[in-house]
Amino acid sequence: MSDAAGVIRVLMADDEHLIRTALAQMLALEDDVTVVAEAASGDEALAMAAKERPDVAVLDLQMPGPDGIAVAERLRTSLPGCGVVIVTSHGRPGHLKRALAAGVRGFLPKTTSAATLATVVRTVHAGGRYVDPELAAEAIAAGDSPLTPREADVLELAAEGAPVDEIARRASLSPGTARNYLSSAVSKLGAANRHDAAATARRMGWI
Amino acid sequence: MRRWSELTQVERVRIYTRQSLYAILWLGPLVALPGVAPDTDRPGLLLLAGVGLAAGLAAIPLLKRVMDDHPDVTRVPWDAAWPLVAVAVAAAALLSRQPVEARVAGAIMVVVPAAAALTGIRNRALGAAVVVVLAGYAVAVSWRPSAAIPALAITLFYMFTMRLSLWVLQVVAELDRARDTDARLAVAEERLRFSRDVHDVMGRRLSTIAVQSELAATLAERGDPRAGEQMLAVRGEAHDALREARELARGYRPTDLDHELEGARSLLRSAGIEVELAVDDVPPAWHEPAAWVIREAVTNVLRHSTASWVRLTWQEERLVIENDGVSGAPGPDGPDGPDGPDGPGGPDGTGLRGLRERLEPLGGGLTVEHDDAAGRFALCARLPAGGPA
Repeated sequence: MSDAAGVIRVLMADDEHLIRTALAQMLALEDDVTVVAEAASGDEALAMAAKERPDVAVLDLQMPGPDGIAVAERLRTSLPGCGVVIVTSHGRPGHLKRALAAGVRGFLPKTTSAATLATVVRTVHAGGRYVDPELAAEAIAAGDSPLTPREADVLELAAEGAPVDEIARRASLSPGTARNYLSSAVSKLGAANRHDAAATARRMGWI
Repeated sequence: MRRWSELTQVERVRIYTRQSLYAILWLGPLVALPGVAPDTDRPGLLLLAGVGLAAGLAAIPLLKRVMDDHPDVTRVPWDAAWPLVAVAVAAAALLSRQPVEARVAGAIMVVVPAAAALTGIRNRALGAAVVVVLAGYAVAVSWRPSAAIPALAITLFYMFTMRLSLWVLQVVAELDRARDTDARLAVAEERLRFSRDVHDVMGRRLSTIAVQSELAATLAERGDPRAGEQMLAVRGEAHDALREARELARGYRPTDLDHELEGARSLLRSAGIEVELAVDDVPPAWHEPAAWVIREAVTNVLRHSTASWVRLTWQEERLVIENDGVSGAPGPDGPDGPDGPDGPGGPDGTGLRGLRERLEPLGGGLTVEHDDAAGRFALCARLPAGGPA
């Protein structure tokens, strides 16, 4: 955990090099925070976390390999003492819920000032929680997703414009089953067709 | 071959209809044989059965062509029709030595598949010609004018059935195509709207950022202390741009209180907090302000308290959000620095002050109740029955 001086050891993971470096430099300006590792992908973050055993991991939501939330889930078992903060540049409402469920205790946009990021790192290190109010308000306004995880998966693939056969193949389902999931998602969202449904679900942050 | 369950509705209708039409091609023997069977000898029956079978088989390629090419086929496709013509001619010759009943029956057994195969062709003149030719064929084969009547009836029946079925099939296919086109059009329109908005909003913001950063760089080169100030302005601009981008992606959405409540419940549950919801019959006029209160309260619960349960109730014109978070005051490690998103202060800081300032002009009010001994914290919004002022 923290070293003798009570300095909080932080791991930063973000595939956007410029942002990661800037945030890390600004965090390093704080007396009680030191950045011990910088990772550019989810896999790298996990490997560095295992090696450096940081007190707090500041993870980008969207990274190559496992994303921030997936990394948080694994850290929860492999490094339970490590607090996790997720920073995101495109916070869709559904992400906050997933993050909280994964044991993430800090959730904030990348535009947060360095001073706030440092306080959040301290809060999370102390066992507290911090959620950006705007992102929280959006998550609340989005309501609860009526979609089952499987429906959300299939709709996510449909949103990319893939035909049913391809959706089925990529979701490892038979075309008939994929079609059933799609049609139940479409009717749950009161949409005219699957493109409409995907657009709605995306806007609400459910996929 | 794909399985039935893997076909679309439209494909199923198409297959069902086509198979039905192939099936009714074989109605000839059913119509014609029972009437003559008792009075016909064995060779005669065999001949009739042979005529029926041959005519049915010969009509299949013609019917297939007519259905495949519908509605574009307007003439007799002779290359697919000749087997049926050959069977018709051969039948006429073979039947000539039979008694009259058998000749009538045999003629009907040719007329039925021929009518089935030919009446689907979309051509009014040709339709009339088919009616006349088939009736004439029946008369010619049977040497009996009255045979024209069943032939006419059969041909008209098939004309009605075939054209109606093929027309329905065509309409279904067109609707399906239209639905597909609509969907693509909707996607294209949405893209267009989005790209226009992105360009309008983001373009303006990014231009400002470009100009401001250049100014900041120039100031910094000269050692002007205003450089830092300018960079903070850039940051503010980027912040606004990001918020606007989120709003763009989300699109306009009116507030729906039930939706907000479900959102609040699922968000709190995902953070492991128990939720009790008893909020019904909030007057619709108060829905929007009630949503502000819920967002603020839930956000505070998430941010500051160590609550394990939250109760949202509506009674006596009061929306109450209670939780067992330890305290209402910001902890020593409260994250709101001087420039935190909410500015200084905890649950009763700017967030709640701002909320109170928004509610009061509407005739509502906001109070905070602490009961540290009982470990209870409550936010009460008074939303009077008269509705927002």
